[in-house]
Amino acid sequence: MKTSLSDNLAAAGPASAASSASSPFNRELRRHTLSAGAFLAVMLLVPAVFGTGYYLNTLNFVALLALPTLGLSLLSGLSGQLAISHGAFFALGAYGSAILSTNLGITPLLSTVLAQVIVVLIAAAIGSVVLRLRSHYLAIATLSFAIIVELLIEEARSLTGGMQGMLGIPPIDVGFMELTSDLEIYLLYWPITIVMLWFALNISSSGVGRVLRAVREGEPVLGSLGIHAPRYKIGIYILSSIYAGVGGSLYAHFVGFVTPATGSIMFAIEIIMVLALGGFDRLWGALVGAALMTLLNEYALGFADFKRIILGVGLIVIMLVFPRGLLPGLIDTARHWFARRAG
Amino acid sequence: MTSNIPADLIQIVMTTLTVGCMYALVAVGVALIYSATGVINFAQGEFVMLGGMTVASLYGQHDWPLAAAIAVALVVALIYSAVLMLLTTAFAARMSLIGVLIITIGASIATQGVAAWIWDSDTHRFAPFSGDEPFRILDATITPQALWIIGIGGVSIMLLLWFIRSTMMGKAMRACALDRAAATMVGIPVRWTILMSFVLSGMLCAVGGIVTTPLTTIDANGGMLLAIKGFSAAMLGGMGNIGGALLGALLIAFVETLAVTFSSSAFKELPTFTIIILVLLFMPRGLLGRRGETGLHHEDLTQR
Repeated sequence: MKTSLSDNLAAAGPASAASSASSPFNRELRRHTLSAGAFLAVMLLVPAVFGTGYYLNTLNFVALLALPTLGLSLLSGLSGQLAISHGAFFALGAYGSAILSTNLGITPLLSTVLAQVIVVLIAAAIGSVVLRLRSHYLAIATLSFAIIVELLIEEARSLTGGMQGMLGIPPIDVGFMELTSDLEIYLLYWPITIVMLWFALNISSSGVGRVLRAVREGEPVLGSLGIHAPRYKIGIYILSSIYAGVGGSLYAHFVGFVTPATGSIMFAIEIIMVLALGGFDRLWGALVGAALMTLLNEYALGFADFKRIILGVGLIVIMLVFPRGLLPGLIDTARHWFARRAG
Repeated sequence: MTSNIPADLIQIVMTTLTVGCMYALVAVGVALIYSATGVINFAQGEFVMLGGMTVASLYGQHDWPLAAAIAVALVVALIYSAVLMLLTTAFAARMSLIGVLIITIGASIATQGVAAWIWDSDTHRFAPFSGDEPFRILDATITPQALWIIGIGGVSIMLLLWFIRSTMMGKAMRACALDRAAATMVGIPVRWTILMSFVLSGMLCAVGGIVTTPLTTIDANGGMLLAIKGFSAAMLGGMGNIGGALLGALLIAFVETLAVTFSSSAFKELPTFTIIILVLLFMPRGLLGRRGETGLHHEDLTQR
């Protein structure tokens, strides 16, 4: 899978925009459309086969947790950078849409979109500052931003309800009906998540994705090729923040309430954990990681202290044993094992 | 607030020095580990928490003698620093710096969880070293514990600076920070030197936790915010530069003290983090960072 720097750059320039119909990107696009379409069909068949039940509620949380993880996966998998701000953008999406729909009476679908406008503006402002930094510095700057957001949410009581949070957030209204049951939510949220996965897959195999991989391999080279790397980095940061913001808005309209815990550092770390479970550079892995994490949350981690120990030790063990993430690590191990058995 | 300007000034200076001392201990601890390994240790605040909580539990609740409780707390910090050293450098030798960063995040929340499990999530404190009775200078009230914090904090940092500048071990640490390969070639035991950096860093922060707990209280989750303050201070001053870490810590403490004095304490974090982001933007190497330093290594999350 690993391509060399020159391969990455081969189609990275402006010329890639005017590619012909049979270009590698178009082939990839067709492949992604097929696989995402097949996955969507399977997910839509699930309630038809198994009927409704509590498991749909769990699956809805998987779809919601997958969104910020897909965003972070775009940022870290392509450019190799780690931001700790995705919990904060999730909270901005959740609170933004909650305030717009509850206080101003805007219909939830519109307020979700408007909340993303807020997310984009803030992500652009923050991104243009912090993306001049790399690695550790970027992680700490985005963490500082996340703390500011958490504190503002706790302190702006008249707007956010402070520590108590906000209750009574209206469910999504699609014109003729309000989506309240798990099944109705499922039929809206899973297609959204899969479309966003499809989009992320295409970004990853487009020229933009190649430029970002080149940022990872060695940013200074890009300047000499006439590519303005910071613009791409800010762009992917904004895009990945939108993923988190959409997740947050949909979450708020699904559960009907938000609390400052939605945007806490713990949640940001949980997103990193989901990424570590699914693999840092695997977009599909985000879904697997989200499913594992939701199962853990649902059945094993009710007690908060216990959860922190498991998350912390889990992160350490995964990083030490499988630095690329649990799922890719297991796949590699299995592949080696079968290769050895086959001779 | 009264309009007694000299008293206010004394109060602000004293608070800045007290809070600044705590931040300085964490910031110097961060700088020590960073210059030895290039790792920013997210779990730095856990040293403070473990130090404070151990003494609060042994001395405050189980009536051990203070000296014994402090000794146990320092041993806890020693063991914890050795574990962290193994996790971040020995076991993770071929890992990217961001991978190591994630390991320290994991260590931090796991430690919080364990501490909340052993003790609880409430705030703890123990009796100040020399009484609770504050004394007054020109209407400014000063607690004796604040003097202990400034005194012990100052002496610890002085001792550390002396150790790094004047002893053979300290010189070996500086050599490792400059060029690990060259240090190996002249026969410096690099592993032990790195372990020494972790241990010194952990001790410094545990001492900070022990002296400040009577005044500021501590809880199982209190470490992370302190760690963030610590590396903010270290970055503000210039990463890996101990003098810079001191300056950064005092600056952050001063801004926070002003924010608390002139507005509500709820918003004291806002100016701090805003300043950090601004400094990172306009002076990415910090206030005292060396100009010629390119600083950051090539890093990649997805590469082995």
